[in-house]
Amino acid sequence: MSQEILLQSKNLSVGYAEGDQRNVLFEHVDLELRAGELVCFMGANGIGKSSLIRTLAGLQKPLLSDKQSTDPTKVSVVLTDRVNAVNMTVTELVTLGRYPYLDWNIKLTNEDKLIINSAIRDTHIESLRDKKLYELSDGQLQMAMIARALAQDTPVILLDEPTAHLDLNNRVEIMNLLRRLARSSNKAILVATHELDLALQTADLIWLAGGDKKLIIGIPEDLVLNGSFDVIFQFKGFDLKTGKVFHEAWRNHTVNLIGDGYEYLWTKNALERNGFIVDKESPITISIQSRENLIEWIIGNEQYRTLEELIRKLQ
Amino acid sequence: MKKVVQKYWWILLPALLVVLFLLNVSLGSVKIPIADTLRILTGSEPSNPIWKDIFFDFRLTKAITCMLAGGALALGGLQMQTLFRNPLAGPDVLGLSSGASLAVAILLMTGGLGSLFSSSLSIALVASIGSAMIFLAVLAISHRIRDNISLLIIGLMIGAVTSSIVGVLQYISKADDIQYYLVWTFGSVASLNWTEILILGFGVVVGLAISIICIKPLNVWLLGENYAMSMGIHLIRSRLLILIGTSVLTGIVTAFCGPIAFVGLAVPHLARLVIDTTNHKVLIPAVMLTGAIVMLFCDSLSRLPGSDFVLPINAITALIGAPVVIWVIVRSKVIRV
Repeated sequence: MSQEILLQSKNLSVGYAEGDQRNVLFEHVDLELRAGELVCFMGANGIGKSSLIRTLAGLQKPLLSDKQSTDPTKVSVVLTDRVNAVNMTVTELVTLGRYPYLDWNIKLTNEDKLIINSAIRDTHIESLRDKKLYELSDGQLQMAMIARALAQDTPVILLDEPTAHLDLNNRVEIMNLLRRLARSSNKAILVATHELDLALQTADLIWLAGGDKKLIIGIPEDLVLNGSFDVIFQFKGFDLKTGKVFHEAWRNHTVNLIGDGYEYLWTKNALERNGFIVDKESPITISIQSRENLIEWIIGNEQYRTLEELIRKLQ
Repeated sequence: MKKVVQKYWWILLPALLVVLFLLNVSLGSVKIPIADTLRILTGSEPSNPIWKDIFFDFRLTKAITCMLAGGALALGGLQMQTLFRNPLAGPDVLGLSSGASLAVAILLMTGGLGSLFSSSLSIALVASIGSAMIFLAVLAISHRIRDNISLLIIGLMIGAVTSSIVGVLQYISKADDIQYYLVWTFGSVASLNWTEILILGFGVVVGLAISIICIKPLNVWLLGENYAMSMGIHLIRSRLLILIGTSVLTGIVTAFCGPIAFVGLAVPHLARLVIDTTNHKVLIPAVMLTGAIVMLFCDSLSRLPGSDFVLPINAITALIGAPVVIWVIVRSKVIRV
């Protein structure tokens, strides 16, 4: 990889020191963020993801070092801090992103206004411009916070769990947006997240926080295949390599399923979820027939219009 | 209606201020016709020459004091609400006024010092220091606690402590000193001479200047300290500046006019009702104008009924301020910064 390194940290230790007590979360880790890359930062709750992000942003002092610097023109953040200023409008919020470039009189230039507008456009919140923050849904508020970070126009953006508390649709939208931004504007974007499935599908690189105060860094597929995820998340009944929840074949019945495409996959899912084993050797044969928008499941000479009917019959 | 006010507040508020100013200066125990008041204001001679003295030495000083005090307290309240991100913050709620009162009580009631220092300037200085000390204490405590309600309770406790110390001081002081102090606590905008107004004006200008250079940090502060830092705001320096500015504003007004309640708390909310923004570049002038208007209104009200009979200004501001706060909370279900 030859992309430019935008943020680099060598031998970084993160944690809290209060008096003689020291709580170390990460010890001697080497990190870098490259232009155009989306990095997902994963790990269990309480392992110190937020602290590491704050430390990288210069908001928290690293351990074993007095060097703490914030550079508002280089790193912008989206944090989990609750925003109390709910009377603010979306435009006012995004405008704050330009503050590092303004003097005390905060007069916006035309260029500032262009950047604010494009941040609002990129996050698709044009219709929310004059809405107050308390009028927004969680997803819209998160988009507005991302727009503020974009308006800050920094090469590096650090986001702490931007998809928490959002529904699937919003989660996908935000991850896609971040991925697109990394590519199109050649930014380095770090996202702390719990969304394993989304991270596996969108991240260029994964930082995995293990319990040993170190980070495992690699591309998603490598980490799946070498079992790093299994060790750290200790999946109970989830097979990461197939991406499926493990079903117990508690009925001990087999069925033979004939069909293809999505219909086949979802029928198989329904059968396995209900404890059946799909086996070519089975004497019971279910064939799926779909024409136009109508799907039918046929066993012998009986037809079923829904999977629910089929499953009830099999039981 | 709201849209019109929103758009033209910078004409409407000054216009309202002028109207209330004229109303305020034409009220008083001596009846001066409005035509003569206008004549004095434009520099010509009124029908009765004494009216001119009454106007300049009593009415005008009082009106100017009202505007300065109202604007300063309201600005102090705005800054505190932003700094603590707490809509119920205000100079009186968080104990700043009590701090100033305590300092003044110590100055006035410990006798010996009094003869040497009881000039208006020293009262102003002592009151500012008193409110700054309390502000520092509240600020230090606010770092240790996360939620807003606790902070308000701490403010109440600080108020309780200071008033009990004042109580002890009263118990051991001479009757004359106590009376002087008690009169001061009722609050008054009518007793300032021109020198004192100059000092008050100077303090307000200093406070306002600090506030203006803090517009940027104040706006970003609304997002919380981590975001403020990430946008290049120097936290310690900004917080200290806002602290000094607010203490000067509150301290100097409290020194000359006594502890005036509710203006600092209620006026920023009144202003926000009509001017819908969180940008302090707009909020600062709007809140100061509203504060000046509210104080002129309260003062006019305090002399309206019998003309000879003047109510303590503190009673009026509380009578008006408390319902306003309740109304704002009920109306918007939740009160916001």
